[in-house]
Amino acid sequence: MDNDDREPLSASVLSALTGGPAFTRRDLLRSAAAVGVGAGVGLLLPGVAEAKSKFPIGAAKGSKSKPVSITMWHSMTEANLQTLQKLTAQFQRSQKNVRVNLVGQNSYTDTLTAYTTALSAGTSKLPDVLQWETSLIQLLIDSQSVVPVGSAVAADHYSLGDYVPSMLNYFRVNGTLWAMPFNISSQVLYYDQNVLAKAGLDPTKPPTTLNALRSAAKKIVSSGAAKYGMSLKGAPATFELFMSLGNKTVVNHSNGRKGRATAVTFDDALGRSIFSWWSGMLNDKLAQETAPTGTGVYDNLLAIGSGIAPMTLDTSAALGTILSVLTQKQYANVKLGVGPIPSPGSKPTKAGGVFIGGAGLYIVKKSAAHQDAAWQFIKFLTSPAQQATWAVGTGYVPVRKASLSNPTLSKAWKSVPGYRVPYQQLLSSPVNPACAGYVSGAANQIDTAIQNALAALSNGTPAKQALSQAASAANSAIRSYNQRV
Amino acid sequence: MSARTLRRLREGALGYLLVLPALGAFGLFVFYPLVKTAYLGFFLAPPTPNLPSHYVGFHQYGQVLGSSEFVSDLGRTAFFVLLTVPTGIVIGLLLANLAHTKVPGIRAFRTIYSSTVATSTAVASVAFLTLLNPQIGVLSYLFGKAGGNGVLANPHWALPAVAMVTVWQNIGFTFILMSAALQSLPQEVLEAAKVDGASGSVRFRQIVLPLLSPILFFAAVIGVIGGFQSFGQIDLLTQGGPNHASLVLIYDIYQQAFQFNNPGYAAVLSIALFGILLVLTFVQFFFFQRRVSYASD
Repeated sequence: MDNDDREPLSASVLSALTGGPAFTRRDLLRSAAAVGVGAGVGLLLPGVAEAKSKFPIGAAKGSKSKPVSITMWHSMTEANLQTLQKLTAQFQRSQKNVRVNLVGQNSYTDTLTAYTTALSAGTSKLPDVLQWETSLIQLLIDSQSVVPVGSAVAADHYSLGDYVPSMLNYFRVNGTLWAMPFNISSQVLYYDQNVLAKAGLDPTKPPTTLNALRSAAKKIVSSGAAKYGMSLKGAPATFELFMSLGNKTVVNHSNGRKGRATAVTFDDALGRSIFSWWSGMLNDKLAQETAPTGTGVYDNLLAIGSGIAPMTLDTSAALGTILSVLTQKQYANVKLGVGPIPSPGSKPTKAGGVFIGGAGLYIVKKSAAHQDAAWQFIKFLTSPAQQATWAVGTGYVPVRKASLSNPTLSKAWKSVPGYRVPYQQLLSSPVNPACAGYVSGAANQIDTAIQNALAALSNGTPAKQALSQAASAANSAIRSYNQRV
Repeated sequence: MSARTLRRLREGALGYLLVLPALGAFGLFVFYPLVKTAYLGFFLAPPTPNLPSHYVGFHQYGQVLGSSEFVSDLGRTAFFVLLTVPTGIVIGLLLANLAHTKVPGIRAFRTIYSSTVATSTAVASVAFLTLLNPQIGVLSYLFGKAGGNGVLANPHWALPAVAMVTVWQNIGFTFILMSAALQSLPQEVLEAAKVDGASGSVRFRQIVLPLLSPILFFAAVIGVIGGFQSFGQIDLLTQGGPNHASLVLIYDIYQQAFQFNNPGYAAVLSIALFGILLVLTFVQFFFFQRRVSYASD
């Protein structure tokens, strides 16, 4: 992967050109780079490509003080944590050079806070391996505190051929692979087959487009099979997935992957059609709105159980929990079905696809031995056998194609075919900027703007107005972030 | 140097020595942070704190204070203060008047009315969070807002709901203030008015209110300052949402500083808040002081 050791130059150039009036050493370097590009020198400037290509492979083995003790910050709890601990123990037994200390941070938000705090306290407070929420990738790149995984891949001559391409695609910014996919999920359509059958729909063929979803909901309501056709949880990722399924970007500069995003692009024809669909579903009482955050986050899933609204879109990571809840007697008449997330419009868009949710594993800039040790551990965690254990233990989607031939995994998937759905839709997603998902340092605020706009729809705000409000709030957040980089 | 000058100097020195601890504490915890905050506003903060800041002078001040977000913040904050301060004072005054009678067991009512002063913002907020819960909340039921996502998730009702909690919590404090003031009113004036045949409402409007004006003024100043700085209930009830509907200035400061890692932006907002409160307090002093009677003091 010779692409992976290249500095993301165009991003630096862009921010130097649009940057603030002040000059730091960093800025000077960037201006020099900008001048270089302007003069047609090309992309590979001496001194800028730095030590990225020289990842210290073998440094842990060659370290004087063995074993090298590394720390991994994670946000896993319950079954996920137990599986991670099991894999870590396996790793320690498999070799003698590296010891791993797992430190739990409860949630991705807590990890963000803890990592930011640690950054101001100095390198010694930072972990060596960092499990970091997918959407915050650009912020971590901008912190200049991580080493791209791609440089380790290149130095180790490690093959990425078996990884699911759309997953790697998410972690590539400006051609650099920044992290390894680890705990990956995707949004799917959950539905109660019994209610669909009662409404005269084929329970084995759930709707695959938003138009079909709407007519299915209509049938469910008009036949009296349920009060609502579905629950719509106003999660920003759902809207962003509809955009990628329609092969459209969320932010400019190829979803922020060919240069730093400077504005959103979602306020376009597709974005407006998705918003009108959403508001139409709510206004026509075909869907009920449920909360994307807070105490009501599971209301959409509970509504399937209670029979109020038999369909909803949610993360595939919830499947295990749903199945265990459904074993309770009161839900005996629910027969859960899992389908791929529907595409916008009336037929699936060519070149449309989905991007991942979940988190990736990053190598933090530390001493050579620690970086190498971190890489060894990441390699282990994302190997086919470990990914099979991981997928079975947690319900996450395996990141390796070879994991599917693992007997434990194939047995588990045979008994619950729903697990195959998120894997299939990620596997069949093309590698292109729209399907990669967007990256921006202001991702949190962009997501909040979209979430607010979706919430506004339920309060009667016209779709077009809600969307343009979201775009202008997101744009001002992007501007504010970009001038600080 | 005459003996007198020397003595004066020594007294002066002693005076400074005596205020030194207070001055030190103020300097360390008030003046230094104030100056430092103003200074931080001159720098564009990097996205993560390990990177260098950029000096931009007054550029950030201009940009932040000229933004539409700041204007909306201010509007919401002013609305919040308008919702909380006058209602709080009126209710406190009414309750104090009710409790200002000599009937058996009135002490129990005084204790009840002033009890909210002993309730922390967190406790009050969590209690109201339950009362306003769309599924199980009694208040949601009474307001006919049961079901759906509830008042706190409604952009039109979120800020008034937070204001209601704030008013409820402030009642105790204003009640104590007003009760104390009522009890210290010069009885001879009220008795003279009574002898002259003034009715209860006339006495209240013509005598009690003017005599209470210093304490009303005090309650207004404290209330406005407190209203501008209300944070806990917003954080616990709405987190500034939905769709920024309850995003008041102080909450924006918090979000910018601690959620978006943007201390420069937050510093500018903080200085703006300081300036606004300073100006408001001056305005209150200059315009309303003339109408305030300190005759009884």
